[in-house]
Amino acid sequence: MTRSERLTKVALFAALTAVGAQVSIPIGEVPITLQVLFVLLSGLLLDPKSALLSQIFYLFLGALGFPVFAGFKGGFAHLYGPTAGYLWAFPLSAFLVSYLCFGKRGYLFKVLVALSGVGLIYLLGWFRLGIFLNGNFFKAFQIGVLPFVGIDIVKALVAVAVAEKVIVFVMARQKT
Amino acid sequence: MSYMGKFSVGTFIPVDSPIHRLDPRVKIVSVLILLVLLFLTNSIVKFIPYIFLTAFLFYLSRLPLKVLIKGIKPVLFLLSFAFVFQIFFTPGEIIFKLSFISVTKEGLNLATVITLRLLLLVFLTNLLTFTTSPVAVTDGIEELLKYFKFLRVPSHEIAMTMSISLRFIPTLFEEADRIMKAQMARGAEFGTGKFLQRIRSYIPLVVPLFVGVFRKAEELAIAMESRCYRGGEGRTRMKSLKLRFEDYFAGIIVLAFALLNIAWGWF
Repeated sequence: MTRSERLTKVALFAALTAVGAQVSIPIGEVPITLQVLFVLLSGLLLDPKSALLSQIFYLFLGALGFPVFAGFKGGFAHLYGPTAGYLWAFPLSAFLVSYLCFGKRGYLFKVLVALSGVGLIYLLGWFRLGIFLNGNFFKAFQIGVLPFVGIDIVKALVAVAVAEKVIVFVMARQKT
Repeated sequence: MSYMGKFSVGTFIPVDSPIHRLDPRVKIVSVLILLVLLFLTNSIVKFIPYIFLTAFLFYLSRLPLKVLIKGIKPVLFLLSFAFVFQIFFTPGEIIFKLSFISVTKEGLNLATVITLRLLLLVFLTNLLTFTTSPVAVTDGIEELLKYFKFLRVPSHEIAMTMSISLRFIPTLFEEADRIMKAQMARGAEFGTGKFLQRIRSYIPLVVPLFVGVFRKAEELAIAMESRCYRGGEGRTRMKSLKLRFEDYFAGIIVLAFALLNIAWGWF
């Protein structure tokens, strides 16, 4: 991969994460976004360095005030507020997923890795929220983890299914 | 396009004002200094100068009040969440009790400080993005990062990645929309059916989107290389940034403000 290819891939995946954060699926009361799905996908599809960088750039754009976070929000306040932990976990999660399974095969293995990626996002999110509630980690678990974790486990499964299909297409095109 | 319209909201608003004309580097550094100071400010009284400064800057920027209010809308939830939780979950001297919830003096104090801090944070960063075009922001960041060259910070690459990202967000929205419509024309349904079905219905949207991004990234890289792109070395600009008298003046004012506040914190 050339330098400019890495540059464009990082840039486009950061842009894509911004798009994923705005696509919401109407399920129940709270509409869910594709944000976590896209974070996992950058981990599953890119090499570790690019995966990490793409998510760092995503947060960087948000910090500068461009409306790239869910619901067309942006600004440094989101990287500091009670829900900041989830955002900070994105680069780490993408890197972890990519580091563990880049270039490897095996459906079940990838599912496990994607689940650990989701776990990392929730761990940091829960941690930050707990600190914000002055150490009331139980309460933080109740409002910040429990209601959403089920949907995100499903997203991990979907992420792997999508990644497998995308890899097939990309490989097929590279051969020709 | 509904998405694109929304994306442009909350960013640059082209008005002619002293703040708009300032060099982006001065604006970015000033906002950074003020943000750091805001995080170090812990008592309500000490926020007063910041409130006045922010109000004055908004007055100078000639932004309509409507824009200002629209700017806090996205963080309103965050703010109320922060306020409510700090007020009810901080232990200390109780000043108000209603069955199982109690408000403490410390809680009220902390809630006010955090809300003020978040609010000022939002206003200041909004001020930057409202008065500076995305191109100017990336140019400013590139120039500023050049000072960190000794740490081998790839300033040009960072700015280039940012501008490509920003350039492609609307394009990718459009693409997502187009793929969605194409799949609907083939009978796909989004957001109906049972829970699992709803989630699975998004696979035919996401797969082409990612395949398309890989293709776009490769094509863009080829296009750049065929135009002899080789990073920032020896690259010149059509419009280069230059500090003028006003920029120095504004910078000195912000610095003086910062130093005075630090001094106040000390004594």
